[in-house]
Amino acid sequence: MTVKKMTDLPRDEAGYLTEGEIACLPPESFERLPDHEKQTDVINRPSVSYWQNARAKLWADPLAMAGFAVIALMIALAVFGPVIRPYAYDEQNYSVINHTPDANHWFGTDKFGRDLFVRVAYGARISLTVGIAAAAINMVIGVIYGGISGFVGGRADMLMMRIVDILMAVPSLLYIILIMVFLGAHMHSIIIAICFTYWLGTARIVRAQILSIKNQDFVLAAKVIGESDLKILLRHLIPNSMGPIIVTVTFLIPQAIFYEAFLSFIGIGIAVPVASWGTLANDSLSNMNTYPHLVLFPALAISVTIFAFNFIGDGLRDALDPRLKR
Amino acid sequence: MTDKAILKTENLRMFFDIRTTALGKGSVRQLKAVNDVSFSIEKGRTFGLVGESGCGKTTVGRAILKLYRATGGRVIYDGTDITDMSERDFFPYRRKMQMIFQDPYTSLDPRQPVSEIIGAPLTLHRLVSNNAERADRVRELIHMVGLKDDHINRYPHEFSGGQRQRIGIARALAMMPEFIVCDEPISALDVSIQAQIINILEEFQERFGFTYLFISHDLSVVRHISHDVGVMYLGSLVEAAAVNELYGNMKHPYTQSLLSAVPIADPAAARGRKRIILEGDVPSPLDPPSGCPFRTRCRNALPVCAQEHPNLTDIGGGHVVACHNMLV
Amino acid sequence: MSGHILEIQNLRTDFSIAGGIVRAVRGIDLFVDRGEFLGVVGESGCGKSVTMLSVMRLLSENATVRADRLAFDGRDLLRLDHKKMRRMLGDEIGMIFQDPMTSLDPLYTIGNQIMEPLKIHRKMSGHEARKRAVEMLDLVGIPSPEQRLKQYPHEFSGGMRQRVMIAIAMSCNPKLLIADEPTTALDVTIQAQILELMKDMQEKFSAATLLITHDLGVIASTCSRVVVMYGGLIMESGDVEDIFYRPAHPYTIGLLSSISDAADTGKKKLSPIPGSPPDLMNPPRGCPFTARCDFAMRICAASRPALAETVPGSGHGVACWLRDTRAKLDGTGVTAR
Repeated sequence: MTVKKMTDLPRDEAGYLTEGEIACLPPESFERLPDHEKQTDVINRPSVSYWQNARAKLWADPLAMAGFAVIALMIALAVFGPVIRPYAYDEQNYSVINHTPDANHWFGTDKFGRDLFVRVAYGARISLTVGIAAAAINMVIGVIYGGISGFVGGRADMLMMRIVDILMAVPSLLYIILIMVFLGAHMHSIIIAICFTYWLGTARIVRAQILSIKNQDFVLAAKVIGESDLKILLRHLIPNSMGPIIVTVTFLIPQAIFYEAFLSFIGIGIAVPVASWGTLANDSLSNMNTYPHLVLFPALAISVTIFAFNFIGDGLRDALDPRLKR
Repeated sequence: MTDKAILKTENLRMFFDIRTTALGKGSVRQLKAVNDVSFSIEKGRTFGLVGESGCGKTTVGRAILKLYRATGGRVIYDGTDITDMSERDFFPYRRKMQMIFQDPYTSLDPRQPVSEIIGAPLTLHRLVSNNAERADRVRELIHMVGLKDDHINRYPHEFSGGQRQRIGIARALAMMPEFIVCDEPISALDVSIQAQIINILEEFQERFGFTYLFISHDLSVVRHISHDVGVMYLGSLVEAAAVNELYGNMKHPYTQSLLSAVPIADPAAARGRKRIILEGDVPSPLDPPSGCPFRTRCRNALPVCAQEHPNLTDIGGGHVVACHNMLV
Repeated sequence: MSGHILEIQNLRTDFSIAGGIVRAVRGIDLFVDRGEFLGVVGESGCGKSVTMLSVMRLLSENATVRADRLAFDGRDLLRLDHKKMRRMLGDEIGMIFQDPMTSLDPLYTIGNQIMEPLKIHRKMSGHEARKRAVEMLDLVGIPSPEQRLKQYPHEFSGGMRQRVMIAIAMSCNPKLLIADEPTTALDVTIQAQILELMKDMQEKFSAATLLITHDLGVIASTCSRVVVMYGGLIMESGDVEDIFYRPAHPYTIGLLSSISDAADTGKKKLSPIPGSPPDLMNPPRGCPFTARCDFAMRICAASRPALAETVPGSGHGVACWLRDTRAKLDGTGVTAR
């Protein structure tokens, strides 16, 4: 019989020594273990912050990663698309009207002979800008408004939330059409129009988050230390509600893109000859049966982008969900 | 005794308005969480405040630290009335009066590393002049509560309950306060860890002369750590005395039954003793009984108990009891 | 048929979570005798609740349970299909959980919730079930049971809800009652009431009771036999007198000396167990208590000691290398072997 070296002793699976092995244990086995060899209060796991943990989870989510890849591709299209082709978005060429896709015109041409690839790429600029800008502005307004409402509480909260209720009660399309008519058909007016109503939902979510965190002990602890209300809001409440806020805002981007396309499609969005995905789809609608490629490419761009953002949103929600923690 | 008192409450009252909606009819009712509570704590001593959940003990602690605005009565700290002080005037007192929380899982901001949690009060109260000094001080505090350098940059969720509570203590300790409200600091912890925390608190009291208000539902622990003890029931202080006097000579029927309900970790003693098992539940503080709050569960209730709220009466040696039976 | 109502051999339960596998229970042997009051004591994360939930198959999907043998009343639980297992729960095995606030469904009346298992398991008619429900509520000390039957859980206090839970658990006359920290969420005076009631119930129904708790005081006042768990393993088991008066494992000794006693007048310094429990994602190779043990030897860090009886036939089992004749006992507080 051989005495196993201590390091060879069985590890976890029902690892007990046999009687014989015990009998053969070397005498030093029964010497006291010095304190410094005891692994007390040691944390074996690597240190991970909330955000590091969320990033790791996001990286492991194939759908979200695919979403990011598609968005990166769209951004590349928006930035370089119009540059790599030798056509301008409003350059008309009557010798190539309504061409189907070929080597010269990758996505074909429209009824004025304009290159559809360049126009879709140009549309990506508008759509992505509208989506991201609207979402960012929403986030800022929503976080400030909802944060103040939730944190101050009492009458101020009552008043601020009733204002939100009233604004929400009016159909948003009404404001948007009014604003578009008033400010004219530009990209910035679309952004303003969308922002005017979208922040309401964000504000509500932020307020709910703040309310749920506000009475937690760590906020009391900050008060006991003597931190000011503003500092508590900025250092504790908002960072702790950031997860759900980011998720909400990510889902706002595709909504805003869709809204822009929708407005342009019904004719009150971006004005011709500027191309947005919505106007492109609208333009080609009249002869969709004869030239389906004209509607196919902008529609594809819209849906792929919206899908991608939704996948990212889902991934973020899983990654940032506090319930999956602990 | 009152001259040496570092903290004193006089008829402290804390009422909350509770909106109730029943069948579409809304009404505001008053929840008397703390009703006329008076006690004083001498410097360097521990006052244990015991009672069951909902008795108002936590509210007392929070009202003292001005986390709530007291409805009535006074809180006097070191001779100064702090009850109605503005937050700005109170700021210097924040450094002197600290708190250790019950739940180590919710009392540390999950997004901040330990260095920030313990370092924040140092910066806020300008106790350190630069970042290097702050880092040194944080390290020193971490060592004081028995944690290691390796822990400084970790986040709360990586620690066990006992380790988190030690971080919470280090945060309270950072400013070297004089007075600390310990709000059930060990009740969320495992038995083997509870003793660690108790010993840390006792050691620091010896070293730095801290004064504690030790809030707990656990009579055994309170007996161990306190010099003076007060017992609360349904918002009122029903009995208070020096620790040995109280445990040796309990007068209030509630205190007696509370002690006899405590499980003893000794099988023979547990089987041998006669327990006073209280009937029924604690009444709702929204709808307290008239007169003495305890009368609905009291064995010795007299007719007068339903009519008059008994006053705290000194029965000798600073032992106060609020019970009509004492007066008869 | 053996005297054991529940028999567990070499139970291992793992949870796979983001970042690794938590080995919550790492090979334990346990039995419950018919009609006995067994206490399982240990700190949070020691595996005491997981052990029972593993047996009942009530764990979430990310759990893997393995065992050499799991038997209830002579039947092999490892071979029982899901449906039969479910039928057993609530009928032959009653359960009470820690939080009386969440273990009752707020949408149904108390009566509904007591009658439900009676109708399912005992095929009782509505009328019979109602009669039995009233009887049970009366038995657990709920005044005017007939009116209370029609009320909803929110109309009951915490202590009353726990009484209702006991009534539900006992209504089908189970052979085994598993109570997981039944009094932890309650106040001391209410806790005393519930413990008293549980002892009462155990006598009346002569069901074996398995009480899981972290509170040695609760164990001392109710149980006849105790199992002490730590780090997913059993450290010590035996009669309540053995555990409290002749503890043989340094962990049990440490636990007993770290509690403060309401009856103790002296200001003796508490002797806490240093450090924190082990991280079961990365469990120590040897005895899980090694890092916190004052008497740890080299062998303790290297290999896990087996649970062995202190005196053959005594039923007092200890898993500790100090039991080996070559270990030096001076100053350990461990008595004769």
